Parts: sequence; structure tokens; C-alpha cells
Amino acid sequence: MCLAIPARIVELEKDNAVVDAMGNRWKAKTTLLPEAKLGDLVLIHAGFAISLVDEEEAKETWQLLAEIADFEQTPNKLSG
Amino acid sequence: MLERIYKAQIVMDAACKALGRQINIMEVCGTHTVSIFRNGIRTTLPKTLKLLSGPGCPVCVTDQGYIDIVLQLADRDDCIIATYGDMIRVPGKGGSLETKRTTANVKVVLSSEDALQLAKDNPNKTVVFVAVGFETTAPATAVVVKEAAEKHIDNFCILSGHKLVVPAMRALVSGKNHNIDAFLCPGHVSVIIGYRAFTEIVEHFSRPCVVAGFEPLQIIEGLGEICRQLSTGKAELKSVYTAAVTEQGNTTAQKIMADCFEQADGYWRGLGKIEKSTLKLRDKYSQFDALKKFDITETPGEGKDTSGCRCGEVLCGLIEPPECGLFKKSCTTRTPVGPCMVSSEGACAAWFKYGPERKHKQ
Repeated sequence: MCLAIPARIVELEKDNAVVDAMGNRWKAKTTLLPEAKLGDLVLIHAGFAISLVDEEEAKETWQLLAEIADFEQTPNKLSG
Repeated sequence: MLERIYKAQIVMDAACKALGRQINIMEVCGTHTVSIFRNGIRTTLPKTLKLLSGPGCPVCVTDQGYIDIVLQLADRDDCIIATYGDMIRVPGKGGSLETKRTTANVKVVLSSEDALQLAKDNPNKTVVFVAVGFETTAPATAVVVKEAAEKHIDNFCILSGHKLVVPAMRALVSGKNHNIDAFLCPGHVSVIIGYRAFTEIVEHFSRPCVVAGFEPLQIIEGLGEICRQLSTGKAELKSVYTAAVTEQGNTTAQKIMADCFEQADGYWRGLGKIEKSTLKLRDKYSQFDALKKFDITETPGEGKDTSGCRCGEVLCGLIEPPECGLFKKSCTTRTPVGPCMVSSEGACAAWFKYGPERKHKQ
């Protein structure tokens, strides 16, 4: 639940942003990170940007999330 | 990357050998627990290094009394319950939010903003936001409470179950029974509170505190740093998650949280009542407090755990999930009895899905 996802701010009007991660876009607020600018990479948690983050860190997380998504799709024998 | 992993492993091996005893490191955050299991990190560690899953899954540490109040409110015709998805399957008196979904107004939201929007869209109902989570999530709740106050959205309220990480760590290492040598501290909570927040755990309790992100390399390097500190006998405060965590944290979020909430004594599943460990709304926002709005006199924390469930001991690192009699018998990820099996970040769910027993059964 405390996992934040890195995403890029692709639209920004006041504290209302649209962010993009791996081609997925959704709305987020920058109220908690007033210094965030259009084009910045930020960590998004529960709909709010909480921190700036660098490109390398974001890429590593995106790659990990993609791997997890693949893994989750494999059948779990015990619960199946 | 491999070089950095090897380097951390060499440090861990040398430290464990030098200490010549079992080392117990508690990963406080549920997201760490899941990442550790998913990436098979436990199997790569020295035999004498044991990882304990701590009270860092918000769903898991939410006491039964709170859950029962949510379920009680869900039975009201004039309410809409807005909750993060994690909470929906937690069982309580007379079912769970999931089982009540057919008869009650239960909506899963992805953010506190969505909950406030529900209130705007449904002026004839009162929206109760099930506000759980640690310092990562609490600022998002504070933002919407302030917005509701400014815009006079009076049909919105929250049931605050927000909790603070450091008081729980303090309670654990203040107890007589604990066996914790060091803490791997949560990454995204630290983004908000800053790594300086763990200073007292290092200085007063001499326990190494190392903040790490959630990638496997970060976790392994964090564990390596802890082992290095343990072998030198000097506890230090350190962050290996330099990409997002600063010493001070997000001060804007801290200010918004402090304006909206005050610290209060509160109940944790497994840990009981902990001084100044929860967040309650300040008096100026009391009209948005669900307990006051609905005149609920029961206080969270008085609920009883389901018989036989040992989630409380799991959360304190006292037992591992397989030691619970219900684990994999009546309690599975499909039929969870306790919250540590319900939540995707719970230690029981992680053991069930990825635990070492699994490979023997395949």
C-alpha cells in the first residue's frame, strides 16, 4: 500500500496533473509537491505526487513492475 | 549491478561469521516483505541471517474494532463507504466490505480525491472515507479534508485509521520479548518523513536503521549495510535510497499533515495500545470525523481477533506464518481469516504465495 509509482507529468494546470508511466496515463495532484513542473518525473502515491525522482530510478522501477506483472500472470499452484 | 550484489553478500557473509550468532533484521514495510519474497532474496542470505516481517502493512495493523466500525457504517442506508481496495476483504463482525457490497454502498477508490468526488456527486448521502495507511498516505487524506472544509462539502467525513511508523518501531524495541537487531526502514514512508525520523531508534535503542527502496538491489545493499554496522557494533542511520529520500523528507506534506491531524494514542493489531502512534483529526476539522458525525462511542481497539488467528504475533516478528495453526489450512489467500493473509502486502500472504514450502510441494 505504501508503494509509489514513478511517472512523468505530461499535463499540469495548477495542482492538477496528468501523469504517464509506461504509456498508462492517469490524473494526479501535485499539492504535496508544489515545485513539480511539466515534464518532471515524480513518485505518485494514492493519486498524489510525493517526490521528484531521477530517470534511472524510474526506469528500474518500471522494469521491475513489468516483471511483477508477468510473474503475477503465472498460475499459482497452491491457490489454484 | 552483479558486482554490487556480490559486494553486499561478501559483507553479509563476513559479518554473520564474525558475529557467530543469529541476526534478526526486521523489514518494517509490507512492500519490502513482498519484494523480498518475489525476488527470492531470503534464499540468497547467510543461514544465520533471519528476516522478520514487521508491522508495516496498513491493512494488517488495523485493529479489529476499526474494521467493525466500518462494517457497522456500511449497513447504514445514508452512507457510502469509500475505501482503498486493500481493505475490502478484511473480515469482521458479520462479513467484510466485499460481502456487504451487494447490499451496501461500498466504493473502491484509488485516491482520497476520488472519495471527495463521490461526496460531491452524491449530495444526499454521507461519504465515509476509510482512511488507513502510514505517513505515505496520511498527507493525501489531509489534503481532501482541508478541501472539504474550504468548499463546505459537509457530506464528507473520514474514519481515521492512520498510523505512524516510528512509534511502532519504538514500541517493538521497548518490549522485553523482542529479538530485533536492526531495521530495514520503509522507502516511501521515508520520502515523506525523511530518514532523520529514525534517529531515536538508532540513538536510544542502538539499532541500525537503513532506509532502502523496493528494487532487489536496494534491499540487498540495505541488508549489507546493516550487517556491516552490526559487525562493527555501532548502530548508524543511513539511507541507500538516495534517489527519493532526503534527510528532511517532504516538508510540504509534513506541514499539511500536521495542520490536519494531531498525534493520539491508538491501537494496533498485535501491538496493542501505542502512545502517540495514530493520527486523529484536529478539533477544527472535527465535523469531518466519522466517529463524531455518527456519534460512535465504541473506540477502535476494543474488537477481538478471530479465534486462533496469530496475525498479532506475526506482526511483531515473534512467529513466522507457518507457525500459526490456521496457515494454509482454514486460512488461505482465497479464504483469508486474518488480515496478514487478506492484504497482498501481508506477511502470511507473501509466505503463502512465495514461501519456502512451496517448492517442496511442486
